[in-house]
Amino acid sequence: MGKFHSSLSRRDFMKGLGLAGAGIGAVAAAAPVFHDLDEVASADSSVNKRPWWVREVDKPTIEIDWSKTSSLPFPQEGCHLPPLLAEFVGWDRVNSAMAQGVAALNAGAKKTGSKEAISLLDTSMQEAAWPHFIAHAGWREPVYPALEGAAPIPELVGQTYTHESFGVPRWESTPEENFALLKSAMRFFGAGQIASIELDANVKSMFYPVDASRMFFNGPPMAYGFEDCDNGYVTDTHFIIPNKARWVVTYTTPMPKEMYRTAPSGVCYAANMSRYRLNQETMACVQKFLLGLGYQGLQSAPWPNGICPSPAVATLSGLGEMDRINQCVIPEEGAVVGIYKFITDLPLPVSKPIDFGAFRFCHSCRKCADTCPAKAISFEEEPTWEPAGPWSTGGKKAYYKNEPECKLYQHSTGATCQICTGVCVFNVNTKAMIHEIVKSTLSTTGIFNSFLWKADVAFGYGHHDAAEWWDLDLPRYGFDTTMGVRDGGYGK
Amino acid sequence: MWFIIGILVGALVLGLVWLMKRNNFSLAWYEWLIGAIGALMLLFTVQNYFGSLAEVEPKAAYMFLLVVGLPGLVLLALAWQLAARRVKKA
Repeated sequence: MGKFHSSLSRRDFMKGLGLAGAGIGAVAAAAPVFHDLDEVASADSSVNKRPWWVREVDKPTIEIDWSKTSSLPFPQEGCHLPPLLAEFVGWDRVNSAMAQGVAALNAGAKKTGSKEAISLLDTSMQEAAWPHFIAHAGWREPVYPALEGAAPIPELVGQTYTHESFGVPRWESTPEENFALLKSAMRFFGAGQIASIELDANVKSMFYPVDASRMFFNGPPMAYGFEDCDNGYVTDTHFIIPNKARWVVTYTTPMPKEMYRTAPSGVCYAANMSRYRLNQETMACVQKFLLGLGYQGLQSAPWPNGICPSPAVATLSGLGEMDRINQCVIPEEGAVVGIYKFITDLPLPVSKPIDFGAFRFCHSCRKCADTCPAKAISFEEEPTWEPAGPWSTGGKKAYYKNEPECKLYQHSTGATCQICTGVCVFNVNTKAMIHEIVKSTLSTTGIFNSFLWKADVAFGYGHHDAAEWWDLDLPRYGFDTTMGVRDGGYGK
Repeated sequence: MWFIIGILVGALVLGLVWLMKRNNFSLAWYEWLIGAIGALMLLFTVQNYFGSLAEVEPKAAYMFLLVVGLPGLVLLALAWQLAARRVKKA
């Protein structure tokens, strides 16, 4: 019998053909078939897909005791505003740190030909990156400040086509399709990862009693109020939220990792400020988009850090996990992200928290704490229920940070610090395949965590010299806009 | 890059098979295994070396050469020597 002789009978062959045909038919019947773009938008594939090593879980990886959560008795966690910081450390230390910062800036400005950190070039960069507010997101709609010179042309500057101006009903669809459309639009407007959560009693319990966002512009602190009204509005003392606005959208504004790795420097400060500038554009566009459809997006304005602590809602909505810096780290983007949120009445699905092994990894890793010049980050192995001080919201088993010491150091540098964020192991880029292997490993098991963060240090990931950044040829805005992208051939 | 590496690896494997046929020798299973592990480690090193340089992480790139690339080369050399000495004896 020949080596290649087949004993397959014609009957078996025809039977096999029939089975194969039936199989192909079944696959074809089960496969999604799109007849138009509406079907594409509503298909499962367009709803929030994450890397395979990101698991959805019922509870966040950080333990929360909702009976102990409370909003802060002052406007903002993080002690960004000097008057708040002074409440904890006194004006003497605040003024001293800020004078030290000004002296560092003045000394640095004399380095006119230098590219190093805190030089004229470096400081000019940090100043240029602030938002300039040609138009910015308001509470409910974009705000167009009066411009010098010729009066702005309303048809060009403030034009808003809405379902009302067209005389048609507002957009109505399923929460899932709304999310898919919003995600596509927000990506186009500049957002990174997006998630949504219900504005329930737990989330409301985290609301700031007063919002500091206007205090950055010498305005009064504002409170929040809920009303049975159609539209959100602003009074002299309150941001009013309609009761029908029952969803919180959380999203990231990516920032340049290479710039953060130069911290403390003006280049890093520029990266930090860029998220506010980019978010103004993103949120102004989102607000117009939602108004056009017949809905609203409410965000504390003009500074977007209000409403409630961003890492908290980002973690609850599954945007990321809490970390040792007591911030939220994102699977696709790492720790170098701006996290924002807005409230909307557009019906949306409720995202679940996620677990990609990050919080567990932070139990072993102390890279941020080791590199913190102010020693403001916890070195403890286990997180704790006890807040580090009255500046922290309790009710969570976290790695609390000494925020006043952190901010005092930041003020003293003449730029910003952010070393912890810049050196975080989750900030790796995507070109070398080792990163994907490490991320999938630590998502699956924690037994290599201690080894992995030590290997990260040994391999030299982390801080870079500020002067090096000027010689790099980086993407627009300084960050990789393809992070977490799946379509168009851009995804990695 | 992977396209060119794929062609190179394919050519090397074909060359090895051609050499085995011409000189009438074969590799033991453990020589295949050690050689394959060494080759995989070398490919892994190449990817991460160039990837790390692109990420502007030169120290990581050199560490990959040292920590993964060098053992990969050692394994390839070991497979080669095992086969060469066995064939020489026979």
